[in-house]
Amino acid sequence: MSWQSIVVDTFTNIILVYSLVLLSLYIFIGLYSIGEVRKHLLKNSFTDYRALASSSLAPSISILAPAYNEGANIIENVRSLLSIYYNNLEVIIINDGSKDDSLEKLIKAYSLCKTDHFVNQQIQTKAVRGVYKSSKKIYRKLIVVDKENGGKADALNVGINISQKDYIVCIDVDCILEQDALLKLAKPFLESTKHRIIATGGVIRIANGCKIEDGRLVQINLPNEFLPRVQTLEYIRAFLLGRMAWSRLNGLLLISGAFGAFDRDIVVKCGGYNHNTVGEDMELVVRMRRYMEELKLPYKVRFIPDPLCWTEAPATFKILGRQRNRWTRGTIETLQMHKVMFFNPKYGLLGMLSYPYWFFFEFLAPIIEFVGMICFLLFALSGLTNWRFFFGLLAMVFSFGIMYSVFAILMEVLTYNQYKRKKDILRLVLTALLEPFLFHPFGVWSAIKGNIDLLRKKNSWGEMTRQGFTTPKSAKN
Amino acid sequence: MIYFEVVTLIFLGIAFLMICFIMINLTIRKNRRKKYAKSKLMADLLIRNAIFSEHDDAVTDEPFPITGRTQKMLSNPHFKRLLTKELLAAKNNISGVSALNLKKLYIQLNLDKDAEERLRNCKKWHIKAKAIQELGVMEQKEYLNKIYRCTNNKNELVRMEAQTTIVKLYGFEGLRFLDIISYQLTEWQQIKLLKELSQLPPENFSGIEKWLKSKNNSVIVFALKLARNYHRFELYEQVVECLTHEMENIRLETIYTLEKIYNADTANILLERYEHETLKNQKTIVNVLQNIASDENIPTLINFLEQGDNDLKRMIVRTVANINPASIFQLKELPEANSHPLSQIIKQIEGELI
Repeated sequence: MSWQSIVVDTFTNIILVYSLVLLSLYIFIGLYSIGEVRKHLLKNSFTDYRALASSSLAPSISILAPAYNEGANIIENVRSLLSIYYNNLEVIIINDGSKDDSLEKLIKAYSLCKTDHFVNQQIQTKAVRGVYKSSKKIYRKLIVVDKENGGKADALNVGINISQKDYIVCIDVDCILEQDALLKLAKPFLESTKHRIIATGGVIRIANGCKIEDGRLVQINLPNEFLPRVQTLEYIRAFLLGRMAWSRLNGLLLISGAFGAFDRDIVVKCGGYNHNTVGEDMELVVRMRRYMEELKLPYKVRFIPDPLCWTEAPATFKILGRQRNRWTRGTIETLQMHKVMFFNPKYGLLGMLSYPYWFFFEFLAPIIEFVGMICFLLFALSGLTNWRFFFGLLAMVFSFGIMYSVFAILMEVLTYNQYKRKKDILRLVLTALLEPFLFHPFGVWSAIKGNIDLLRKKNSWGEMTRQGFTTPKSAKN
Repeated sequence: MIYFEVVTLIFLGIAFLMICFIMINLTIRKNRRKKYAKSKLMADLLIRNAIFSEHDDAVTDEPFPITGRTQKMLSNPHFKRLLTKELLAAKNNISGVSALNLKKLYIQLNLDKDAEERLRNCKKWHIKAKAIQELGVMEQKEYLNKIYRCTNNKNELVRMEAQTTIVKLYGFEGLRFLDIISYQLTEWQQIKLLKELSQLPPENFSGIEKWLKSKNNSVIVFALKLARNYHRFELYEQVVECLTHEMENIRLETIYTLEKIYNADTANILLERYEHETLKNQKTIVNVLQNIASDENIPTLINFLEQGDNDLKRMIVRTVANINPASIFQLKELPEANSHPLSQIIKQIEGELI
């Protein structure tokens, strides 16, 4: 046996074992999520959220919404937040040094006046220029903070310093929330007697193609464009299967920055959002969990499968590439920052399962796929392995991807069934068939670029241009 | 290599079967929706007839007329489920003679027996819990014993529904399950129970005294909430005793309760307790004092300003200013009043007073 064939065989076996473990884990995640989603749906059928909405015992919540150059839609977005049905609420808009007229528009629309507000710097942030409150009673829930530009994490930290409530809900200002979103997100904090619930998250859905009026979602439609539609499928898969399974295991590491609720006390004790990473949402959850594990305090991070928040997905490869690049860098940075937990039994399930899973199957997966593909191509071209093997393995992995996506569609149909028309479901199925060929390679390539950018120490957020639900706008942070 | 092809075919086969299942499911649902619309019409008609069959504003013993077709449909479990659902929805939204008529129809159709059967024999927690909920909405008091036994059920949802139903049926008297429960009441369940109680005319119910000494900490918390919601001043001494309980959240609830049933000594008692409390409870004490403290407590509160936490300082200044707005001048004379953070805090509170 030549040394070349030993190398090829070893490499092939490693890739094969890795693929089988990955597929097995996906099967486990898919099946394990069923119980959690079912339990939630059954429990939910007994829930009357009105009891919470009208109760003085409902947890007090501060909504934190950072805004940078959101002038085009800021008035409508804030109005939408102020109309949320919740008793014990304050809405904090943090103007992160916008260069446009966001602040002036807010001052005019909501009759804001600058106040002498003492900002308790529990978390170090860029300077606050002013805190504004409305002179009108109907806007008494609203606080607008003007600060020097420091990025999303810094803006959120200012919001945390200003907030006076027990829980914070961090959202992207341009997200569309369901009317009962806060009630649903708050309930898990009231349900546990044995564990402290430190954070909850809800499902985020793609709003492209949906009908939005006055900041409210009035009609759900499947996006017509391929990219938003494939992301719709991706979000269903990630939220309904992945996050539910990890929530059931109490091993969830990520609550999306677009919409999540956190125990303010623990966030402050952990030092708030880290502005040295572009994955500040994941990093905060990991740090909060690590804090609780180190203090040996019983805790849980909960996730609910109800669609609570609708967001606009990137509709071009350019913007999507930037987003995926940033997600990759954020994941790697977070894993680097908390490498002490890697297979560390001191951190329980977090150290022994969640962290290794993210390391091997979120961070390494695109690298292994990319390197594996190139190596197999080279081996096949040089006759060290045959083409049948190469295509056989590729077909197996791709067919698994299709099966997993179809399973996610099935779960969606059997649970929330947001896309009621048969035609829409068929389009989603078609998207699932095309995804491995048209979308997945792009995702892998963006992740590789993310790795390269991180090695080159590129740490920018990347411009995220959105088309907007009503009028075009640009958001850079 | 042949394995790859076989596995690929299996994956694609499963995907194909799932796609077929989705399509069949959607078709069945569509057909069921059409059928459902017809059944719903029948159920609505039956319910409408019951609601509007008022004779001199009183419920008669005469049974409601049921057509042969409806009778036949009642053997269909889907229709029965639909009818029950519609009946419950109607009952939740109306009162008076019409509600009594719905109750009568429910019994006439033996739906109560069905619910009891499910409660007795079904092992699935959600079916059991639904049966309890149903009997509660339909005010079926004769099943009290069976429901009461479920108030300490090992399944959280079953016991929650049983507790809520007992309170729905028996009001404050129903709270006697608090004597026996060994599981903790979640905050959510407490909110539900208080909401249920809020719909009843307040009465001088007994038991809080006993629950304040319960071995179940959540029962103590709930008893404190009851004492404050119903302004039970006569329990003042027993509530004050809870201020030294080992559990932080019980002490926290005690502070909130004392705010609602306070007397002339309460402010001093809380101020004495202040030094021994956690930061969270200290903040609550200071907050509560806004409403119950007097001018004579201001110097003690100002002394607390020497401690560290800035949020607490802000609360103290706010409380002092709310007790007596003129005391803001007293605060301004403090040596640290011109330096950070007190100077900014005083400015903010002055702004709030305007």
